[in-house]
Amino acid sequence: MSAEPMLEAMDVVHRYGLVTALANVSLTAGRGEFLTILGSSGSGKTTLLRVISGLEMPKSVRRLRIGGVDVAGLPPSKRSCTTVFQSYALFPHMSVIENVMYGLRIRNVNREEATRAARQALAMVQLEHKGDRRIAQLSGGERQRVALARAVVTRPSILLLDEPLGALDERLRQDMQLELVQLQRSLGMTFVYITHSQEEALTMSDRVVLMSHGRIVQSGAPLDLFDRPGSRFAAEFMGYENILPGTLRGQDRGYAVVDLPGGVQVRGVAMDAASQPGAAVAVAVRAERLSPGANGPAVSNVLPATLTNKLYRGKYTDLTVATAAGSMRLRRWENTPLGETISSVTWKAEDCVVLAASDKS
Amino acid sequence: MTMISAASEGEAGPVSRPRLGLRQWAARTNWVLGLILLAWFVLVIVPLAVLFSFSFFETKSYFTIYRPSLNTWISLFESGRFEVTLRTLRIALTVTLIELLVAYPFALWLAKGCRSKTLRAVLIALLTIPFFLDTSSRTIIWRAILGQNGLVNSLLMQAGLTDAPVEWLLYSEVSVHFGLVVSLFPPMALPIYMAIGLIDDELIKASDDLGATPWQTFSRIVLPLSLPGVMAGVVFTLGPALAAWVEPGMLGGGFVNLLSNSIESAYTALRYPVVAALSTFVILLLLALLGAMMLVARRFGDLSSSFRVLKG
Repeated sequence: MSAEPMLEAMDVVHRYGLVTALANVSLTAGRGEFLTILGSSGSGKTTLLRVISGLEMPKSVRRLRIGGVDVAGLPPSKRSCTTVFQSYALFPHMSVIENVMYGLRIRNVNREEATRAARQALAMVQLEHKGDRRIAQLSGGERQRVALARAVVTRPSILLLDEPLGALDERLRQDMQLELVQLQRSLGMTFVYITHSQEEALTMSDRVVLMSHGRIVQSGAPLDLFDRPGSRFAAEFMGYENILPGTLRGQDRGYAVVDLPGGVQVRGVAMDAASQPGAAVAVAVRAERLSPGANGPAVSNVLPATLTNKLYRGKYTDLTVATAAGSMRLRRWENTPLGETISSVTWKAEDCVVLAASDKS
Repeated sequence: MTMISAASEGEAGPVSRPRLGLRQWAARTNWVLGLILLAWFVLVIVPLAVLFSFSFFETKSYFTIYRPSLNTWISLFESGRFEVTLRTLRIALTVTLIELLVAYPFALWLAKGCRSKTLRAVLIALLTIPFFLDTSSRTIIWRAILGQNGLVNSLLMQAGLTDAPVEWLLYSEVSVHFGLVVSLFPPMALPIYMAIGLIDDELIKASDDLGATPWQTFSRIVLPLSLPGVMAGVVFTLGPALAAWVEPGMLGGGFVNLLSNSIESAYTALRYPVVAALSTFVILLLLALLGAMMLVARRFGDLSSSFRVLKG
């Protein structure tokens, strides 16, 4: 990644009527970076994408640059970025190849050259034999690829992808995830990818930006977001099954010490430096990081527990246990003995995070 | 036949669940289609065939002679009706062209430019009002407005713009054109509005996003996808314009003779074979024009693919 960012959006503010869609959002992306904007519907992620592409004009923005060029106020056609729409938005009255060469033809590239470039782009998405097909004759996955080829054929600085895999079935989605990453690597193009799926965000991106209510909640490498959520919202969104309320007691050897209801003390990685001893906090740990039994290393947290429910899910088994601090969930990947009883659950201090009890908004 | 199958396919497009229901329904009730075709044949084709065969009879002193001959057709082309035919064609085509140039921008604005839903609903309601009123009563009012002592001339003279009333405002080709353009505006504007309304906004955004100027987006995306509406609008305008009788009669004041006026005078003279031959001639003209238009449209773009927008 070079020193100058490919995308620079500073203090974007946008409102729909009285609803604030984007509240002072700033975003940068480096050359060749795969940046994912993660968030649920209504988080403002699509609005942010449309502000970048120019399809939406923000109420105010301090700086908006694409490839070093100031594009604030420019129409979409004058920006060096293209969008892969969620609905694909392929032109129904054109063939596959006509769709792909559209961006070149309107730039007055001659037909021969445009056809050659379009064929190359189609070969890249493995559709070189379907150039003469009509859009209506393609499957969902093929349409997706045509939309991709059409967007990259003009070699934009940034490719914006608006939940492009949302309409595909599970299997196809996984294949396309891999293909998209390979495509991005081979093109060396900056991708800004929108999704509500944490799985997609984690598997594909160099960096993930988590958004909620028009703000950026957290931004970092996929592993950071997965293992070190900075807030209760981030932990919930990233799929932390166990979030227990507690009271902060203090710090010990770099870990936060928390009193849980029932008089048990646990340790975890402190994510909120502002919390003082005595403050209400939340302890978050993933189901698969919990294990049954009391024997473990010295830093382990141990909580007496009784098994209340067992749910076989094929690849794994989810166990629900009752503890004095509340109900918790364990995930076991190996087969569990039938008559198993659980007297306690245990987990490592570095597998658990201590967060502020409620998010400051 | 093809029209019907195309229409049912188009309707079945966007929603998947009702499509299945509609298909099943159509498959189970094939006799309904048969019945519709039969009724159409009896009510439309048979009278046309009778009309056509009548054109091969002739009249002598107010009596129809039921002996096949080509005399009516021969006299039709010998009696100087070519001039009338040419005038009819010229006026119908001019009116259609003016209509297209006026209605297309209006429909485009109504479908994509008009942001207020209320305003759009009001305008569409206004467009349908003429269908509730009789053409004669809507047309005759223009006499009072365009006449020598009419509203326009009074205003012009009071404003001192002219000394004498402007004569060509009424009972001229200008007033006939004007009357036709006014009364045939809805049938041109509505189908175009529907066709443009069906174009997904995302397609227009995608075109912008890929770098197209507004004009390129219009000429490469909106216009080709709205062609089915334009075709329908032209059919609904050209047909009535060719057969127009009220407007040329009331606003032409006998100075603008069109084929419909010839039909009417032949009718009052009880010369039914002439009526039949003239009517057949108008239908053939319309078919020839539509055929030519289809050819031009095919040149212009693959029309069948434009209809694909209906199927999403």
